[in-house]
Amino acid sequence: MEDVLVYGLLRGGIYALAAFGFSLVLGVIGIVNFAHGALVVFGGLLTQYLAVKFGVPYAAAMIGGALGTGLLGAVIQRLFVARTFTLEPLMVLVQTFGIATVVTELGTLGWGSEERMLRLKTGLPPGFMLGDTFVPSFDLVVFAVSLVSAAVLFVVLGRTEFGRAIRACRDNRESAQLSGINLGRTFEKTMFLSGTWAGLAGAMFVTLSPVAPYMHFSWTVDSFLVITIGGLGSMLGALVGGLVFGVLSFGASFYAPTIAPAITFGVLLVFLVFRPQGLLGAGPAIRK
Amino acid sequence: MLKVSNFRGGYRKGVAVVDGLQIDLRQSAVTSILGSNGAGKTSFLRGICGLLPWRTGEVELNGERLDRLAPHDIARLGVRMVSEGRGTFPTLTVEENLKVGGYGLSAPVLATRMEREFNRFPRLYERRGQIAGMMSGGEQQMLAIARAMMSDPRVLILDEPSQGLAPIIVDQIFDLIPRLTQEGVQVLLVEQDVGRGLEVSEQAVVIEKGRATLSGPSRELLADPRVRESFLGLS
Amino acid sequence: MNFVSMAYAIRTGPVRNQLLCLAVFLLVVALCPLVMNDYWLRLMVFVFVNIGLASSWNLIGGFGGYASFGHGVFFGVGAFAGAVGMVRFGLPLPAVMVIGGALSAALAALFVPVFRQKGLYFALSTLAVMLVFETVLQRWTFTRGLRSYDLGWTLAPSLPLEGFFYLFLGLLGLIVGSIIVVVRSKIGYALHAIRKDEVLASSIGVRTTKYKAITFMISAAWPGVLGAAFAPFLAYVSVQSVFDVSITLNMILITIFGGAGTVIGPIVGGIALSIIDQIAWGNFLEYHRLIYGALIVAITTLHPGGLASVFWGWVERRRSAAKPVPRPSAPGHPPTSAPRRA
Repeated sequence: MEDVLVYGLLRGGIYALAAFGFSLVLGVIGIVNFAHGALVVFGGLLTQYLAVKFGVPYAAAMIGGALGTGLLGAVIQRLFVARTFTLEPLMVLVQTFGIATVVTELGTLGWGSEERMLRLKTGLPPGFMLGDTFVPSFDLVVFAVSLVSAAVLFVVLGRTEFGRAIRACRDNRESAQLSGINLGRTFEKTMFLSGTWAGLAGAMFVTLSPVAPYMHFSWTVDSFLVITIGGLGSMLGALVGGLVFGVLSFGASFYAPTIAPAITFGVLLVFLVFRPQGLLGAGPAIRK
Repeated sequence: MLKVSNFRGGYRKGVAVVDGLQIDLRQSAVTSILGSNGAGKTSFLRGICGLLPWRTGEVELNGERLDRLAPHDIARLGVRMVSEGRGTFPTLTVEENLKVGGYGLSAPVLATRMEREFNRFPRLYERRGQIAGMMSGGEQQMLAIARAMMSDPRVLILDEPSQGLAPIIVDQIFDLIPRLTQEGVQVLLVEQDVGRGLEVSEQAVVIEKGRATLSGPSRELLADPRVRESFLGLS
Repeated sequence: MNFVSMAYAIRTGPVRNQLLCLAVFLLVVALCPLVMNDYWLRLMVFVFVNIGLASSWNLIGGFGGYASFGHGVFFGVGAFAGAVGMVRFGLPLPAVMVIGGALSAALAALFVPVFRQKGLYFALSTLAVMLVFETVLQRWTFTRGLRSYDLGWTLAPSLPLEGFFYLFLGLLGLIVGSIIVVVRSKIGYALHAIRKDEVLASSIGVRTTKYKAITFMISAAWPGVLGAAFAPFLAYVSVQSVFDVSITLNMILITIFGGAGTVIGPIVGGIALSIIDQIAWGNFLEYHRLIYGALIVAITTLHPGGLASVFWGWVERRRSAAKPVPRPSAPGHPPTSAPRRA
């Protein structure tokens, strides 16, 4: 039981990072980005590529991978989503699905379809015992880094003019424009933030588990699940949702590995029917 | 000085909701646009601000053409609109709302402007940490006006500022309008309450079905039998 | 009467004419076995199934504006009903088709509580239901296979290839015909209102939940029937083969590629994508998925209304070029086949 809790929470930090961007884009631009998982995977593979191919130190590779992914997100927004999203959200689902396919296929062509992982030599002790549970120190470091980057995102959104503009566009697009905010640019910046944090999630995940292009869809679905559990439109909700989802999915695969997906999705259904606003769902004021 | 000529616009190409309107703010401090529901008043304002999907004609601010600019550029050049239903940012605090109004300004300027607005609306100062969505309609209206004033606009457009407010708050808002003009902002006011709109303004335009039917100094319109009959219910 | 005005007349004309058109189309296609070899006939069956599935999805997703991301569950349930019914209980094909449709419709009826939620929640919960069913059908020994160690069902093909060809062509005709009728019925008008503005629709007395539920059940029943009929054609039914995510995605892609919310959209989209698919498979196997993805991105970016809107846009331009005055009773789109954005 403690094992499940500890390991689930450790993974949950990364799920939360991946879900932030998904939630942000859904809240601000009002679209479901089916290419979000592709961004996570892209970030992971780019980081691995930078570190292995060019021998860049991991921290730099992680930042490079994250920013590169953010840039990709902004490009996707400018070239594709911006032309479609005002017309029909349904269309954007299909469009971003297409983008996910293209990104994944190009990634496969460039990097191959195999699973890749980045083992880091940190010189840390292997871990310590917490009660009866062994806590690997590297996982703990990754967890800490994910919490720190979550905090950075909270500060960017909550305390800077940039973040204020994004939240203003989420609350009321028209008033934001009437206040001199460029809507298109803000959406691109939103997508950049979303991509950057998705890339970060990928960059951290690749040090713990293998990543391959075909996994993009499950990352999208998991991000979906995280924000449904945590609550749409709330960054804190995404964090809580990520941690809960980490414990839930780890517990499901630990106790009932054969029907793990059914359990996580069953929980999702319960949420959808009984608590659609999620654990920390935002009030009706900003629910889309 | 805002000048609009031969303005047509609407939500679908070719279907004009506003059809050939002219307006010239000239030296008038407050200009009101009057008309019944669905006459095209709000669409006209949205057109000036660049929010209509389709528009033709000329909009000039001190000789500078605005009609081809995006909404945020129009706002930056000094035309600010307080939309119908106020349009505050419900999850942002009062302070944050004001900061968004001064988007792009440096921190010290932002601070002095904010202080000015808090002096103008002491009520907002009391509630500066409050989430805008939790405030009363009157407070939100004040916030919306303060937010627009943060940028020191040259033209302030008020769309139905009295809508949905208690009479006492409406009085306050209308008392406020002449005071705003003392700071050099010209006000363009849309109001369904024709009597009030005429009282507060120096010149006025009456529009019906997207066209201007009457225009002139407000005092003359107030005496005009057609206005008295169809809008004021007097004879 | 030239082609342009004929197309317009069919689109705006009575249901009878549209059904007649469908019948002519089906009759022409029915001649295919005379000139086609087995490879092409098999391919045609897949095209029919894809169009039938996409048309069903289109009813709730396109006309109703509620995108179901787990619609494949109904096809899968139907296929399993077909497999279990025919192998375990020895039922005839028509019986399992009815059972498959009924089971899917009943499953859809369970969604009524979710219908109170907005579109995204609906999409999520359909996806979730699909994944739950996938797991259950794979684990439950009753549905997993005939013997305890089986992971699927082996079926004897109960019809010759031509038989399947006509069976699926007939089903396609029924599906498209039923959609033509439904969208011009009271349900269709209700859907139109729901898609445009659901709150407004319910405020003027449209019983939105009722109509959404009916539509969703119809749109679920047909994939169930198709799935049951598909089981013997496929010859081997397992969770991997009939619950693949790509089945749902194909429904959505075909519909939107062709034009969501139009009767003709899924038909055009199904044919066009099959052709693209064939060319891509045949010539650029390695880049097949890439080409597929790039095409989707291109059409959604350049023509968000899908192929149908490109066509109807062209028709409208030709018509207004032909007779500039008086304007044809302008935007009076019938909800049936009007492109979603004029």
